[in-house]
Amino acid sequence: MNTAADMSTLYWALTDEPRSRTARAIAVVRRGYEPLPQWLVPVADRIAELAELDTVNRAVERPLNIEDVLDTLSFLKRVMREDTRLPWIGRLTSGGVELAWKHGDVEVEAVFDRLRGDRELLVSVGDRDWDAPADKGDSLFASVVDRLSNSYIEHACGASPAVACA
Amino acid sequence: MPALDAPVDDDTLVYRLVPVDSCDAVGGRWQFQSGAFDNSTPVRDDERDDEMSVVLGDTLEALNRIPERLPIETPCSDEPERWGVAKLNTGFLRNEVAQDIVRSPKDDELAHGDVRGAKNPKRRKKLKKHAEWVVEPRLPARGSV
Repeated sequence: MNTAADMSTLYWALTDEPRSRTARAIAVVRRGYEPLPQWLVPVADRIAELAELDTVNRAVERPLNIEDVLDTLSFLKRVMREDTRLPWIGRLTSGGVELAWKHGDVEVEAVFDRLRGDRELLVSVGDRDWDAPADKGDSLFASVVDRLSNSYIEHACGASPAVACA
Repeated sequence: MPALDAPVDDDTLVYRLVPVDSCDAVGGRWQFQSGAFDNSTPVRDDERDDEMSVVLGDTLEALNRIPERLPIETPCSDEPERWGVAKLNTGFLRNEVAQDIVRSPKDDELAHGDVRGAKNPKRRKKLKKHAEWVVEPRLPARGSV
C-alpha cells in the first residue's frame, strides 16, 4: 500500500475538503480489498476530523502527518477482523497517530509517530504488559483480538453486568 | 507566591488541561487517552521538545485560585466546555517516570510550569493510568470512533 502513488492520493485526501478526503482515503485502502471493510468509513471520517482540529496550537503542535496516517491504515488493514471493535483514534502533537482499544482488563495502544521514531504496539491484560514494534506486532494484537470483538463484548456485557462495557 | 527557583515539593499537584480531542467518550463520560500527556512539538528548532505544559498547584493556591476554574481562566481556550483538568502528583512524575518539574510563569498564566523529560508511548501510558480528573470537559460525552 505504501507506494508513491498511494501517498500522493492520500496527500490529496488531507488537503482537500472533508468529504473528498474521506472518499480518497477509502480509495487508498480499498485497492485490492473487496468488499470494503466496515471499519474504513468511520476511521476515515475520524482521520478527516483530526486533520482539521480547531484546537491546534501551531506554535507547539504539528498537523497530521500523512506518513503516520498511511502507517495507521496499513496496520488496521492487517489486524482488523470483521467483528473487531473500532479503535479510538487521536493525534499527537508531533502529527503522529494514536490508536486505543479497551475492554475489561484488555488495553491496546498503537502509536505511529515518525517524527519521534516511535512505532509501537502496547498490550496489557490486567497487570501484565507486552510490547512490540507496530509493524511486527500483528501476532501480539492477534493474541487479544477476540476479546476486542463486538460479539465477545456484547456477550461479556450480557453475561456479567459487572464487566466494564467500554 | 513561590520563587521562580523554589523547588516543587513531591506532594504538590500539577494540573494538565486536556481537550476533548484527546479523550474517548465512554458511557457518557470522558476518558483521557495517553496522547493527552504528550510533550509539545515546537516548530522552532531552538525551543525544547521535551516539555509538557501544566499549572502548578502550589502557585495556583498562593494566587487564591482553584483548578476547577482553569478551563474558564486559561487564555488559550475560547471554548472552555471542550477542556477538562487532570491532576498529577509531582512525586510520581519525578520518581516513576523520570521527569523534572520546572516553574515557567507566563504573562497570562503565572502558575505555568513544565513537566520536562522524554515521554515515549510507555511513559505516556503510565501518565494516563496515574492521572485523575479534577473536572471533566463540560461538553456532553457522546460516542466517538
